[in-house]
Amino acid sequence: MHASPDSFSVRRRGFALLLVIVVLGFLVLIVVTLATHLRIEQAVALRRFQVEQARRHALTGLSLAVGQLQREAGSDRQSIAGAPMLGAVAANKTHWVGVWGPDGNTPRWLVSSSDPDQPNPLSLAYAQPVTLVGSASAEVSAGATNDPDQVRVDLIAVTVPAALVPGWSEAGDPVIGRTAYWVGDESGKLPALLRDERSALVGEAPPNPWTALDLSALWGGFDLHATGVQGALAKVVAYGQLGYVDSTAFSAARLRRNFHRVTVVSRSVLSNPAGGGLKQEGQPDGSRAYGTAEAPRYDEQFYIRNPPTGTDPDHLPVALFSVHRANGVVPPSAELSGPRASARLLIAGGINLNTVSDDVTIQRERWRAILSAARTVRFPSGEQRTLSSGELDALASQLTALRFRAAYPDVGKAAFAPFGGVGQFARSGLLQAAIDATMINQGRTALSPDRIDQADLLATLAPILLVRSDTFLVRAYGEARDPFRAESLGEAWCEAVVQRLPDYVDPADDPWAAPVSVDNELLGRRFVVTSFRWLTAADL
Amino acid sequence: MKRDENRKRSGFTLIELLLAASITAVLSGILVITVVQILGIWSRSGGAVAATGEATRILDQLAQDLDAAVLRPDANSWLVGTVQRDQSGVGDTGMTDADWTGLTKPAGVASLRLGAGDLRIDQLRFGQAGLWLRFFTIEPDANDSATNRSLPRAVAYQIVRRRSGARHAYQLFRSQVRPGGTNSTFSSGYDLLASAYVTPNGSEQHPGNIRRPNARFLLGNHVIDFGARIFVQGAGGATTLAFPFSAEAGQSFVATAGTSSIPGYASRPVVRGWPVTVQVMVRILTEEGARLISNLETGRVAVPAGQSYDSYWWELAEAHSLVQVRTITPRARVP
Repeated sequence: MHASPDSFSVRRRGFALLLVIVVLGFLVLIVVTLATHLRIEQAVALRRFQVEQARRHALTGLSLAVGQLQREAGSDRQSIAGAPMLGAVAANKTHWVGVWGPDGNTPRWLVSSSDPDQPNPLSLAYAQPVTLVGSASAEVSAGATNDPDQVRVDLIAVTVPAALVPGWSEAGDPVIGRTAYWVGDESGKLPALLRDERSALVGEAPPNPWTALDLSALWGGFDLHATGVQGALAKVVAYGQLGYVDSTAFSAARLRRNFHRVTVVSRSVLSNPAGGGLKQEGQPDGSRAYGTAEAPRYDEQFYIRNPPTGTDPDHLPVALFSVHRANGVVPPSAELSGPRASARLLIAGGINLNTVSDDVTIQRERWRAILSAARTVRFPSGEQRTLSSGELDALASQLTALRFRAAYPDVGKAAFAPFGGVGQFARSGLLQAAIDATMINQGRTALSPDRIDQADLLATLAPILLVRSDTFLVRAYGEARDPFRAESLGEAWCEAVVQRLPDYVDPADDPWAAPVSVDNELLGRRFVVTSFRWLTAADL
Repeated sequence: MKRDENRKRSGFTLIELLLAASITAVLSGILVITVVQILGIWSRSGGAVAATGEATRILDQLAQDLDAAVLRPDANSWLVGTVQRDQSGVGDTGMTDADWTGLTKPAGVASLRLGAGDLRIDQLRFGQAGLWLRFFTIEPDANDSATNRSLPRAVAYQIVRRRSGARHAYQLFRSQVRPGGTNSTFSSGYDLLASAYVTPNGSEQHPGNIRRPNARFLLGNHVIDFGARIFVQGAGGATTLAFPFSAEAGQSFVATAGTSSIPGYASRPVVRGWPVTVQVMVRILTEEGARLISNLETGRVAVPAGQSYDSYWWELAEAHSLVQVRTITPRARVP
């Protein structure tokens, strides 16, 4: 039964084969493991690169937005309004912002456009839309594509020369990504945050209309002026932080509902939209004369001090200011008063009266809040009258979008165009017509001491009313694409607050003086990014 | 015939054996030398690749944070950088298992080479524990609840030397304070020099993390130096170097319109301004470098005769580490 030499040899060969297979299997395992490891590392590196590329394209969108703002809205003599100024627009274009020149002609829209030469993109159907404000930011139904609080804009292709993409043989330059941007109007919103930095600096605490501004209807009756709330409000630097002040009043649902209605970042330049240049600090020569058709100085002058002896100091409008620190440097106190102080100050807040809405509730709530700032009217006689809630509601109801879109040929305002100045708004008599349409002066004659006319309201409101906007919220989108397969490789979103300042683009010119530099003539006053954050899809 | 077959099977001659043994020895020697060399190169390049990856990851995070830095022109301190010269004195993070005792990265002037703009940033040394940089930022993809998403939060970058058994490790932490809620950034305010942010508290959700990081906030290993050059806008709009502003001593940069001094560093100089560009550097040991430094600090390796501990520590560190630099421009400007 001994194994023959032949069978022994066969067994040995079998063992060798087994050994070879085991060794080969082991080697294959090592190679597969290494290959997998390398593939994972490569995928991670590629993913990082694609996200970075998408972010670069989002930043390109942001740069385009700031560039367009500078080009279209840098000059003092511009009016700014939302798309509803033109009447009916597609719901998801409601929050597009347009810039009208002094001639009141066709506006330029501050959004990315697939056809930049098209004068009125509002009339175009979207070619390749992307959502920049959706259900996480505003009151938008999930999955909606045409909601009034939603913002959609068209994508712009990002291309590179064909020579930069090896293997590219198709016609046209390869598309390596897409970008889009939307410029939102912060000055068209009601300001919820009001700090008087100037008062803190120079020890002056002037009365101002903001202290009476009543936004409680927007926040379920919450009083923003209540003791204990102001300290928390002063810490708010981003809209979403309002939820930390009071989680019930500023609930997530209310924050979404008021996303397009309330701001915490708006500041405005004291510029003259009617004649250009900065406003000059002046002294009113008669409280009631301020705000009449004969003294249309709303656009030319502003007031930061109590009036000369003999007038009623409480009657005078004193807006709330914020110090403009050029390069972060606090200007000397001497520069914060006097005729040229407008180069060193910004209005904290400021409300663009050209912002209108066809949503009756929104329009009424907005004007109800604005008018509340002038609720207590003080007359030259020393008497004062406080408008009741019903009277404010009635007056607010009369200030409909329709009235703002109407033509006022006597003062040079065309239909479907914004007002070109607060003076023009006053002279149009729109506010007076609204007063006359209510019963607030019922039983009073023209000589009654407590009869309210528009001059009485504008005396308080004019310093905080604007016809343009100086603070904008920009949202930009970036996408990296595979040019060969036309597939998306990564997406990114960013958001920035962009502020117009009194300084010119070219610092060679004094902000106070008329521009000498050609750049300043063309581009006007400087825009800077004052806040920036990356967003995720969950933030939109 | 049979005898011939036996002879054939009898094996090799002595000469054949000697020759075969010699050839085998030579080949083995060459193989061993080659393998050792390849392993050495593999180890060094692998270590360098790992350190590069670590540095890139750290700088990516820092770039994202500084991109969205929150700055406001008021008396709060919105961004603070402090050169931590000496951990045995002021500035100890006090982390539970932090340990700056015994032989460590040198304190004092040996680890201070701040230059006055005449050196490249990768030639600088930012003190025993590097730069303690803290500021407010908005993080886009933090794993927070919806109400805490993408809102301002305080973050801090600092090096801690931690004990792990008999060995020590230099680690960079990025601690953060959540945006809202109890003990949050919102409830603590925006002044990084206020007591909430300078009183150590390593609880994961506490503003004291800015001073004493929780272990969960580890960002990178083997980081032996971390620093920054901060540029501000000078007169006429030109960008000028503001920090570091002298070659000596601990010093701080504070982005503020106020005049507060740095708690614990009151005697050290401070420069104030608004950053427009930040050039950051991070120095990371390779695995081999970490082993060598650890051996030196535990006394397993003696300092060569004629050389001081401090200079030998840095000689080893510089030979077995790499430096990565990145220039970051916060996108928001102080108006």
